[in-house]
Amino acid sequence: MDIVVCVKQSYDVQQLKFDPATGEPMLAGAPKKMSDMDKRALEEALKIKETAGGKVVAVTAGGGEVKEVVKEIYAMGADEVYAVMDDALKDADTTAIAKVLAAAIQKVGNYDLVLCGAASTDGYSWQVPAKIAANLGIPILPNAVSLKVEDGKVITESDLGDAVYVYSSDLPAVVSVMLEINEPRIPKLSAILKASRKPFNQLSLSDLGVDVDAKMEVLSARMPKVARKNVVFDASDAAKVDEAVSKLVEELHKENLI
Amino acid sequence: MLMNVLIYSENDGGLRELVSAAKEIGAGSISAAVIGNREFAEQAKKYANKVYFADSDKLGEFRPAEYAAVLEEIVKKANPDAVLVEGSPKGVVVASILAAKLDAACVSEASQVRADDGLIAVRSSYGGVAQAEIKLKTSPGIVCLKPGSYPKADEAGEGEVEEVQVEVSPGVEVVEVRGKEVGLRLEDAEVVVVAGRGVKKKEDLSMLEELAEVLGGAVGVTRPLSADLHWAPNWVGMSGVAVKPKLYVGVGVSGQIQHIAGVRDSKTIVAINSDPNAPIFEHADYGIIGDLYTVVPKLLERVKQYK
Repeated sequence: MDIVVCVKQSYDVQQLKFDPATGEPMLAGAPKKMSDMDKRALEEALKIKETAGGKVVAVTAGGGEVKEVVKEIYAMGADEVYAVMDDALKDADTTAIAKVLAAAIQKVGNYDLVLCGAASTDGYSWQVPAKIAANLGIPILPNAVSLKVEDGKVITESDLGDAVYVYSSDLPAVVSVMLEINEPRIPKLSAILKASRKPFNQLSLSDLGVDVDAKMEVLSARMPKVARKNVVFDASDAAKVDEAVSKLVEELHKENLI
Repeated sequence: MLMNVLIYSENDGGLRELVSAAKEIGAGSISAAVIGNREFAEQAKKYANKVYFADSDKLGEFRPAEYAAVLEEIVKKANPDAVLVEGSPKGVVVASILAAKLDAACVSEASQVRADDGLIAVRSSYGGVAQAEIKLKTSPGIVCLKPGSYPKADEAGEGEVEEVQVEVSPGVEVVEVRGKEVGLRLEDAEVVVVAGRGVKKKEDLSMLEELAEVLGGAVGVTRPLSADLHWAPNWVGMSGVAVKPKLYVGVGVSGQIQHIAGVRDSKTIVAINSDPNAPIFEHADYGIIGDLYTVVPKLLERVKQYK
């Protein structure tokens, strides 16, 4: 069972800071990490390999430095990593990234299964896995909360909001996974140390021959400001609690909220 | 310029929201795509000028590539300038495949769409903390609008139904469909009371549950209480649940931007926190600076007097 896992190096949005004046994200030097759901995809691939054998290859694409994420991928236990690095990918949209990843997967060669996180930690578009499948011309089994491979088929429980669909498909297929699917392993220190020495395959856009013309343009991205009343009642002194609460309840009553 | 807009949702409420969005971008005519549900195709006539309806024994249950193939065929017939899709998990996966096939721009997680020399969509970005304005540079452009983003349009008349024949490949097999048990979901509650780190013990949540019950709502927790302390399976805020109730009450919630990102669309925000410098007060309509263990019982008592 040869598995390709698509991994994105995302901004760590839990730590991302925003400029208080403009509301814009402060991206320069902002911490990055392996996207949460992609990490589950890699974990799932490694688990399948443990029972079914075969190879786990990760592909990643991006505009910036990928060394850290490559190290993390190796430390978890992937056999090979292909990284597409090109400045042109800095502002690439999901359509372009999916084309690049699909082309990289074909470059890897043999694969029975492609696993992706259903959405990335920073982008949250939920689009890339289905687009990869469309580009490869193979089925997508989206939003898997469980996955098994048996008798040459992949079977998922796919959480599609209003219902859970149990899908079965011939291989090869693309499966996108949700956070619930597993708890990813924490690599051992020895594995982390070894990982930093492993070489990875670098691919350029010209190697892949993919057009990454953006179909979309981000006009602005900032933290929205919502005007609030900012009325504060002081009850820091226990004697004032009654008055503060009464005033609050009065206001809420006036607004028909209670 | 009047736009020709194609809309796709699997349910009545979703369809009516998309009709409102289509009108917002100046739709000259609205077509609806309906797959595998004849009854719903008849229903859709009341909102759309034209309904493209496809059915076969292979389209009874939702399958991503097959439904996308149908939609692609309908796009060819309707030749829309804009395709608006309900931003549900199914809608987004279908829209993604369609976008890849048509090499078209596709914005998901959108809350607004407008026309300004093409389509511009507003979507959440950076995990929901920020909002981005995105210009779609293809025609058609595809926008997946999050449920609840637009009001539900009223019936507008009687459109016509055109049957569409599409050959779909076998693809994936649907083994089983299991409906999900959903109680009052936090994202649907009109009042949401959220516990933050100021709440000292898990047992103290019962006090907030009582408050939520009296106010007619539900209780949620912030990320640390869920991810670190496991008091609840999910949290309110970025990468958890986003809520937009009429009334949000943050109890002992400091108000990190990642939390605010998930509650920002609440109509009225109330904060109770002992720290006068807690960032949540900047995002609140009403705040009480004080110890939640004295404020909440008093609040409960007063609210009950109004009920």
